[in-house]
Amino acid sequence: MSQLPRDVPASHYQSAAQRRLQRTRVDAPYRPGDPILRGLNLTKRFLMGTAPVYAVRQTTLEIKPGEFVLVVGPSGCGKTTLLNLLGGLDRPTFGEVVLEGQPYSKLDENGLARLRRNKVGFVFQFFNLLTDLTAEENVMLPMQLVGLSPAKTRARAAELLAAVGMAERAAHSPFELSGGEQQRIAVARALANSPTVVLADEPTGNLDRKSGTEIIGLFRRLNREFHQTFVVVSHDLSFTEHADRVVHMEDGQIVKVEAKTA
Amino acid sequence: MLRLAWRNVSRDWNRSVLAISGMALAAFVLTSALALSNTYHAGALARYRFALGGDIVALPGHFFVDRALYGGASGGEGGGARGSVAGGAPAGAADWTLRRWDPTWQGNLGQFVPGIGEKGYLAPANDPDVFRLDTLQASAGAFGKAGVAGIYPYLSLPAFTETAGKTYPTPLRARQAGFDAVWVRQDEVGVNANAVTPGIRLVTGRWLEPSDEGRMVALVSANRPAGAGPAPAPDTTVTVSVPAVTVGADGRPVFDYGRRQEFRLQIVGLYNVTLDVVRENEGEGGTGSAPVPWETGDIMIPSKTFETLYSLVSGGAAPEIAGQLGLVVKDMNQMNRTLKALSQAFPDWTFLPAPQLAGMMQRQAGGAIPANLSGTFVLVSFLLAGALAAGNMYVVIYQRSKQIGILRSIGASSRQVFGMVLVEVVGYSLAGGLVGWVLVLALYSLIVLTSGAGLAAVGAKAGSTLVVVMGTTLAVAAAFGLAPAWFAAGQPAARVLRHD
Repeated sequence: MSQLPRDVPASHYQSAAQRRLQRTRVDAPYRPGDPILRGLNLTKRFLMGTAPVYAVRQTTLEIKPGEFVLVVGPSGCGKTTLLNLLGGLDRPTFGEVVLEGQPYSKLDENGLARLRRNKVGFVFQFFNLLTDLTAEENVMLPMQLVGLSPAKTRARAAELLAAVGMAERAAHSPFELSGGEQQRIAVARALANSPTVVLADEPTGNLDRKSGTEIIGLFRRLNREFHQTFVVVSHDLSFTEHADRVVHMEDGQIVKVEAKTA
Repeated sequence: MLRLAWRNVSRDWNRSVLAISGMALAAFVLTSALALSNTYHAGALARYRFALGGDIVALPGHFFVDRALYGGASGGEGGGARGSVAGGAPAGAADWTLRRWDPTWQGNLGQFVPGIGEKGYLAPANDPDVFRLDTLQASAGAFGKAGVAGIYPYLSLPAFTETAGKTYPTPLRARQAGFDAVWVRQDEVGVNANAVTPGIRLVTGRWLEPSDEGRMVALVSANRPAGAGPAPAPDTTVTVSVPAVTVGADGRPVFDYGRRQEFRLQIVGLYNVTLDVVRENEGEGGTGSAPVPWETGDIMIPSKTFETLYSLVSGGAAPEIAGQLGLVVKDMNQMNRTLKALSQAFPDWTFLPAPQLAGMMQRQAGGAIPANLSGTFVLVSFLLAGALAAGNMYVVIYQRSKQIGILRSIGASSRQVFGMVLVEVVGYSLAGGLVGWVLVLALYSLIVLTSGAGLAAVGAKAGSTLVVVMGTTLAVAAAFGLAPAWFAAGQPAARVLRHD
């Protein structure tokens, strides 16, 4: 585990629970029932000129299998950075991320790419569909990257499109789809390789209220039906009712965690 | 990823056309330079082969002036002070001298055709000017028309064509390229003094020696005029009158037409051949070489010369039976061997391979692109085209940073992104190379066809040109596509998406 930055005393923002989590061995073998995703003591520091700016500061978070976690907070509080760190899109300045017992720090860039390909699904605010491909081809792309056969790829894409209610729009270009429909395609793409966890970054941020609610409802349905783990970042507190746990962030830190009791 | 690469190529045709055009331009320049160089050389070679009749030109190391034909100090039409047939009568041996070839006159080498490679050239002794040989006048003079002295016609000895181990007699007129023969420059040293076969000429590459007397081979012209009288027959003895020659104080030969020597020569062999004489230009302002039938009669050469030539070149003894003389050089190896052997056997002669003559002519003509210049031209063109392709790909990658970021975020490895971009660059390059090749093939065909090489040459070159162009464009694509592909592959997904 990385050392703490000297200019930021850890005790300044660490809770007791987080300190306890820090002591967790990152190389402990993964056992069923353990948290599938752990972000340990994560710090992401950027330099603005010579001045350090902390997007995430010594934040520790664990995600359990099948959990629906909502990360909320005001703009610029570090939600997206945290999500990128958890998904292996970015590397922490300090700290460690462990997915199913696999510490990210042990992986090179291609290893991280492989991990994203096989175990992480991403849903972005702006959908990030490839506009040169049809809806179906977008969904097929992650499976093609892992080398799945064309027949299986096509069958799985059809299955996923049906699951998100987009079977009728498979041949359409993203340009021909509404924002909500594009986001459904993005969700289907995120689920393509049956990832361990789906990370969604402001998935409703570019949608109207109704479409946003439908997308969160879709997440919840997939979460319940397929036991799919979701970590959703949003600034919209109205979605908290759907989450198993709500993580509140401010200024790069987790300031409150609300767990919904069953 | 391949489909995505193709979509990337096809979705922005303006950009794709720009990239393809860059590579096409480079391919065009490359192939043009190669084609021009090759075609020029091939064309020059073909012209020389046609003009010289084969792959080897045999030139006497020195030659002599027959002033009875060309001399005359009083001058005449056409050649001015250099005289003409009309001005005819020899006025004195001192009128003509042999000047050695001066290497500083290289610029005039092209004008020296067909005397190219001569060890010396002729000039009037009292002519202060550099005597520039004019091929048109020279050849005209050789045919008894007004002109200057100095260049004798070349005697074409027909060749055999060897194909797949079989040998076919090949008349000169059919020879265009791919045939090999030895060309012997005719030095006419005497005319048959007997009236039996008027017009018989004595040909040798050197001056006659007393030992030559008595054994000659007659080459009977197959196209001899009907009224030329009976052909020479074996065992016929003829008397040939040749001017006396002495060596002057300066070591130069001096001819005395007032004193003639007579050689009694016995014909020991007959060879029926199609005799042609090639002159460089056909008429004033002529544009090409044309064989001219030798109509003046039959020719005799010393039997020793003939037999040695024949055996060296054909690899066998001179045939006993009169037939067509075949001087065959199968390939470059044999050509080189033959050249060496001929040079040893006839030290007074100069033997030149036609490719060497073509190269000399190419250099002297100055019309060809020098190899180093064309190489530099091609290299710079390809660097520019490659830089254009690479720059274009960088722009493409910048424009597509979002796509690359998305691909990276969903798990595309750097190798997969690298491959996708490289496929695009290679695609652009192949398409550009193909377009360039098609363009240049049209130009190449034009050049080849106008050079007289024929369609077969176009077909033969098309394949090799395609290989060269496509191979080179691929290499350029690989060289210049690596950097942008590597750049794209190294883009961190988060940074690209954040930037977006």
